[in-house]
Amino acid sequence: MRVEVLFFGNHRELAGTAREVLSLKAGARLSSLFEKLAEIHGNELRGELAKKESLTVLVNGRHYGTLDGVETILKNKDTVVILPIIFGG
Amino acid sequence: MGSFRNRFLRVNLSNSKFSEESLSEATVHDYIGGRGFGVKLLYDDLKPHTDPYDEKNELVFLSGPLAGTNAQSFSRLQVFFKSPLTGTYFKSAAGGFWAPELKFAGFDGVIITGKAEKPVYLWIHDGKYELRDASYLWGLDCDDTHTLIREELHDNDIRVACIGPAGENRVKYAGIFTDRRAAGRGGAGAVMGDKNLKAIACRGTSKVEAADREAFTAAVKEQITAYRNNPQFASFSKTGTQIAEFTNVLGMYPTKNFREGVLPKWQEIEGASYTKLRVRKSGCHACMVHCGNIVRMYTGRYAGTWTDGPEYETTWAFTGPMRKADIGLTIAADKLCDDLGLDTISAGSTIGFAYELFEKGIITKKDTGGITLKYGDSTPVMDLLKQIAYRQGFGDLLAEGSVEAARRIGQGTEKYAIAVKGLELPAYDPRGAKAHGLNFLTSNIGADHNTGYAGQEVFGSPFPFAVDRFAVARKGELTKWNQDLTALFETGILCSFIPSMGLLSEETFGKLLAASTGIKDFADVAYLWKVGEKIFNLERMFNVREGFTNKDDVISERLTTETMPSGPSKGQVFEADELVKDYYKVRGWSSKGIPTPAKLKELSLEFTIK
Repeated sequence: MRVEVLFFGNHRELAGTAREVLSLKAGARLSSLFEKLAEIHGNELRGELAKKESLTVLVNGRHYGTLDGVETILKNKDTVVILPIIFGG
Repeated sequence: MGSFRNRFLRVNLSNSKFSEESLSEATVHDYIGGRGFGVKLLYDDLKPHTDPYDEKNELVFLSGPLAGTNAQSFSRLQVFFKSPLTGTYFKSAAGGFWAPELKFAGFDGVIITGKAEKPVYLWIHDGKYELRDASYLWGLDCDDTHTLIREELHDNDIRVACIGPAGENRVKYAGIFTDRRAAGRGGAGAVMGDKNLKAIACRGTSKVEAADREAFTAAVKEQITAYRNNPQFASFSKTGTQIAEFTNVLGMYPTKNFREGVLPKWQEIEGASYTKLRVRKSGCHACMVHCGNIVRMYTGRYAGTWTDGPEYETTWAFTGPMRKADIGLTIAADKLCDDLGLDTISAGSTIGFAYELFEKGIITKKDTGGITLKYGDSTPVMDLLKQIAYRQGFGDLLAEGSVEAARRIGQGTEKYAIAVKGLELPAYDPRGAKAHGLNFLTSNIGADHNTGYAGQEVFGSPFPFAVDRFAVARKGELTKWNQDLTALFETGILCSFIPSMGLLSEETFGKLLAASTGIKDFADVAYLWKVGEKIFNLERMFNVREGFTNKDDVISERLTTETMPSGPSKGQVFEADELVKDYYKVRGWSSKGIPTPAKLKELSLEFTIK
């Protein structure tokens, strides 16, 4: 299955891109996506993705904390947004 | 009382009489300060149904009990009045340096009543005060007014809070501006203009001392440590308020007058785009966050324009309603509104309302004075803002706000005015965040995001509990929590961003208050929560006395009947009836939205029971 990933802020700099589409096994969890991103973009991004207290993740517009966190099961054509903790308004 | 001096200046502009007042010890204890004092003063002073433009309407300028100290993020000025836009009690706040300067000059607040015969400004300096001629300032913009007052009084350190042409012309959403910071919402500037008061300038050299200096220093250290240890501090300090990319990926960026939730090409107005244009950071007195940004355009139609901002709300106000992501326009329009003295949110939203009427053929070029309003083209905005501020041509109608403009136009256009109690919605579609929308619906000043910001839904904050932003369950409870917490912190007129980020706990706030004022009860967190709830209910009772009921806790039917057509909030509606019913129950209010006698007694608000 294919999952779209959008990066913002520091995570965009570490990934070197604002958007990418990744192929994952059907039924893969968010943690698998994180692992794949770390393999592609290196340990610095791996480290940032591990900092739960300063990470914001949306799966199809829903905060992953209100889903199953990193255990959230992804589906084909899902959009995952990854950015540092954000505030404003 | 330490950093709170209990010294207020009352000025009657009708007869140029001054008096100094202090609040009773009981009032200070029961309302703590800031918003607590503001609503109590207005409730006691204003007779029911006072016209906002009656000379008896008041403008209450308050500093908080911690302003002028080195406690962080308490430098905001808060203004209280009966609003010409909503007809309700109103509060509006601005950052900057004015409130601390008022403290240095010896006062906690200024209460303005009456109307001057000709334009004047009030000059307060080291415990003295006088009214001075402002005829030569009338008609000038806010920046020039600051400059000329400082020149006239030979002191560049003077702090000024003033109105621009919009306030002079009683635009119903004219604000009060101080060093490019705005108490923008609700028409405080229009009331000030109606009173012929161009500005209040202040300067002082006295120190603001805490009652218990040792305990206060420890509490400030605790606050600063909490800021530094919170990852949101660094993030917010770096990027400021810009979150357009985020509300777009949530699918709740109001676009095309709340008909869509994602703005085409929103990437052009994301935070990183503004950072590229940043000249330097800016901030307020005694605030290490420094969330402000001076930005400048170097290319395109708006090359050469600079501004202090724009904040997220302004970015939205000049993009979403016109369905056009033009970063240059947001910068130019923000600066223009700061100069003219306009609230950007209501201005942008009201212009967006006109765009929809134009698209539907309800208004034509004949009505707009030849201007074509077409989605995807935001170039008319600059001309319209000037027309609004000077009440020229089509702008004279838009100067009334979207609800009153719709009433005058008729033809069923009321449903296209996206507002609550006359106050236009800010930059969040309630269909994408239900508690956030419920706050708009039930706020005592209309659709204001700063009265009970639902950071749990927008940013995923897990406090006091994590929520699904689309869910209805427990949103009454959450909204009450957010609103009472905001009121609690606004007794100190704390910047509203701070509690939403979790930068300051109620415990530390209590320590700061108790050490600075010497009033021990202020360190009791349960007491602070009770006062927060009390303030919210007293505001409600002010509005009840004016005739407001549950019939006014309503929002445009577009949001309750039309599902979001696409994007990450696709299929959502705003379940207003269900949400508000739950909210009243949690609040202890009747089905009419009125606090019950039992609730009022519980909060020691028996004096509001008639």
